Amino acid sequence: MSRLEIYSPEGLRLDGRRWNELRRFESSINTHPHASDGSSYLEQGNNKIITLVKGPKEPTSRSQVDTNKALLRISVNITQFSKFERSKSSHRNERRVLEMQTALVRTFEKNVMLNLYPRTLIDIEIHVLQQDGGIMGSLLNGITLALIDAGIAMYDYISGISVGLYDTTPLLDVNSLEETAMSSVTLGVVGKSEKLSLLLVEDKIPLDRMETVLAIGIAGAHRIRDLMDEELRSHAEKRVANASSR
Amino acid sequence: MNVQDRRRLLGPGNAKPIAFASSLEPETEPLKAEEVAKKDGIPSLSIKSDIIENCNGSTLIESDEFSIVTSVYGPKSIRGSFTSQGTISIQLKNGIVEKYQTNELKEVASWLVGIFNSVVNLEKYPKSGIDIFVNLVIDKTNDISKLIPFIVMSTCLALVDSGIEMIDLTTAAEIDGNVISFTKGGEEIVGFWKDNGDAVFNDEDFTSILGRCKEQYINYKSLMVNYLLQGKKK
Amino acid sequence: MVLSVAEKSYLYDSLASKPSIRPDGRLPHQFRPIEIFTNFLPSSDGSSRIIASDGSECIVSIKSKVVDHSIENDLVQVDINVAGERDDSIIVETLSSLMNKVLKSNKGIDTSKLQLTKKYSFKIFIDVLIISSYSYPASLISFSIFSALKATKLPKLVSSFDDLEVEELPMFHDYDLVTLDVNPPLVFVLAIVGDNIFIDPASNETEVANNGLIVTWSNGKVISPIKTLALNDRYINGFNPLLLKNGIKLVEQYGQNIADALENL
Repeated sequence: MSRLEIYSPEGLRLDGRRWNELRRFESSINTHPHASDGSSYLEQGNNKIITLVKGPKEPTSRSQVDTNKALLRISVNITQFSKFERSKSSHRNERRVLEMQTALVRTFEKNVMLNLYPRTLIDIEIHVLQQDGGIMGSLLNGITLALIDAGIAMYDYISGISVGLYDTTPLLDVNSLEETAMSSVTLGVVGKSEKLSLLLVEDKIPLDRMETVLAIGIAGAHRIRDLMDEELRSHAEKRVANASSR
Repeated sequence: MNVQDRRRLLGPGNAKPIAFASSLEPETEPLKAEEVAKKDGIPSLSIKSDIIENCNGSTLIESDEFSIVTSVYGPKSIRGSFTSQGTISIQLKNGIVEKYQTNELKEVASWLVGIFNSVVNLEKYPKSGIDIFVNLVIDKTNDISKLIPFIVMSTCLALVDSGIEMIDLTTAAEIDGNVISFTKGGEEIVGFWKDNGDAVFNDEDFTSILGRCKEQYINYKSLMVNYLLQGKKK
Repeated sequence: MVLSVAEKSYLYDSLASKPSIRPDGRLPHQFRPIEIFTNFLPSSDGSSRIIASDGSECIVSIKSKVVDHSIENDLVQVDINVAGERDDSIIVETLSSLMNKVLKSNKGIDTSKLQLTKKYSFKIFIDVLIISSYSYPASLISFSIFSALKATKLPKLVSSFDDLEVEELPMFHDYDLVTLDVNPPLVFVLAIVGDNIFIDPASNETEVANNGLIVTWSNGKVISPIKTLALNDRYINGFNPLLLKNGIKLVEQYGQNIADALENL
């Protein structure tokens, strides 16, 4: 067990948050207009993530052509300097990263209207510049923002969040210290609904606690959806203002 | 199967190609080795072409210090979309002793591609690729800059041996770590390489280095020309 | 960028004419505007993000580790990653070979500045991530390594320098940091068109360049590595030897201005 006091009797966590509080969430879209069709930069706590969406575009090879729908490809680049200690090997073909990629593709395949873009490729490139726990949730948020920036049709926002369980208390939006000290789940929530499009459980969680964990997770995800929505709307307003002033 | 891929070993040893009635051109004799006397700081070289059978052209250059084998495969058809001119690819390989790092060899190789892109008449070979493999079998110099002139020379001779059309014979010269590859009798530079030392490029030094390199280049080139002419006579 | 034959020929003629006209109206020695942000990664000792006006972007992180320099004599490590390229692709391998030569030569990073005590030194890891690039990115990488190293702050040593006699590990101050004082070289990419030479070629200029030059500059002087660089495979050709000298002079003349600009961020 960790020497640190993960959750104080007064109800405060290591970084001073309460059990149901999110980390700082700052996002911006259209950050790389030259390099991609849609892009976002997301800071969720100390996670810093660049997401680039390229496409829908002509597939690079003929084997990637699907006559009925677009092909979604997601590559996650976790940089060697992303953690506090620099990792010795590149995470390029690590199994954990490959699994994250397939989980992300499966999540977004159900949410993006791929049937509208037959014979094309939608290529999503993610660079994780810094990570501090709950990385999977942040990836979901980054991709959602970048896809919206690219103007690709989706049914709804997907907002990601991870929730830990400390004894009997669920802790919202865990950071890396909390993540290593307790079991946590990551969920991807569809819009303002209570539908989950991703549920990632990599540790043991008592089944009777699962409900409270999911409940706080869904509430947190809805808050994130609102924060993303706010950012998108203010960005759109700025662009409209710029366009009309010309 | 791709018939043009001559890197494959073909059939069992006793297999014979089908002989047609028409008379084949008499096969040219393989070129003999030639020893060149040591003069003006040029190491004595032994050059031998046409040494590998299943490639289009090959050259072996040897001296006391090094031994370089270059083989040229192509021009052969490439897959994919139409290209209006040929593409050269060069691969450098360490000998038994892994002397140079792979990224350094790749850097030299891509530099060499630049040189040969400017001297090979690539417009003649649309939709085709020319693959060149350079093997640094023995190397006692420990300095790739010292070796580059001979890598360029052997690649050039191997290209000549393969019958690929070239605009000019090129070779490089090395003085004090400055490697310069010339064409057009020293009028033009196609490649420059300097890995260590300061650049002393005030007018005087520059002219002197350029002059000495040019001289060395002309020596090397006349050596190559002599060798090629001798092979022709036999 | 894909240009038609007519466009290329027009571009070539305007670049090769005397005086030359660059498509964006720059002077031969003029750079495109760049944006640099430093120290935006709190978990790294130094970091920088550089964005060129064409959207080319490069991120550099500097991390450090205390090592025993009698065992580990390689005190600088450069890793280059290009988005969408494999680690063994030609562009990645040639760039990392070049940057290693630039930074590890005796004129590169002064490793005595990394020494902590008689036994221990900092080893610095330079990680380069190229998110997008439209022309040969050597210049961009070296600028961002330069600004990242200039912004690097390392922990301050509080234990004694002489630790050969006593068995102790270096101790650091709790929050005081010292700026790393190194002068990394800068790399310049030049394009040769006809008898003209240009610094910082844009992607359309590289497409019609007869040849290219990589020139390294440090402390007012041009140093090695210097080499030619094939910028395309269509227009490549030999060039007048004097252009080599002109290129080096151009860099020698304007290198200091660039270094000053990067330093006074």
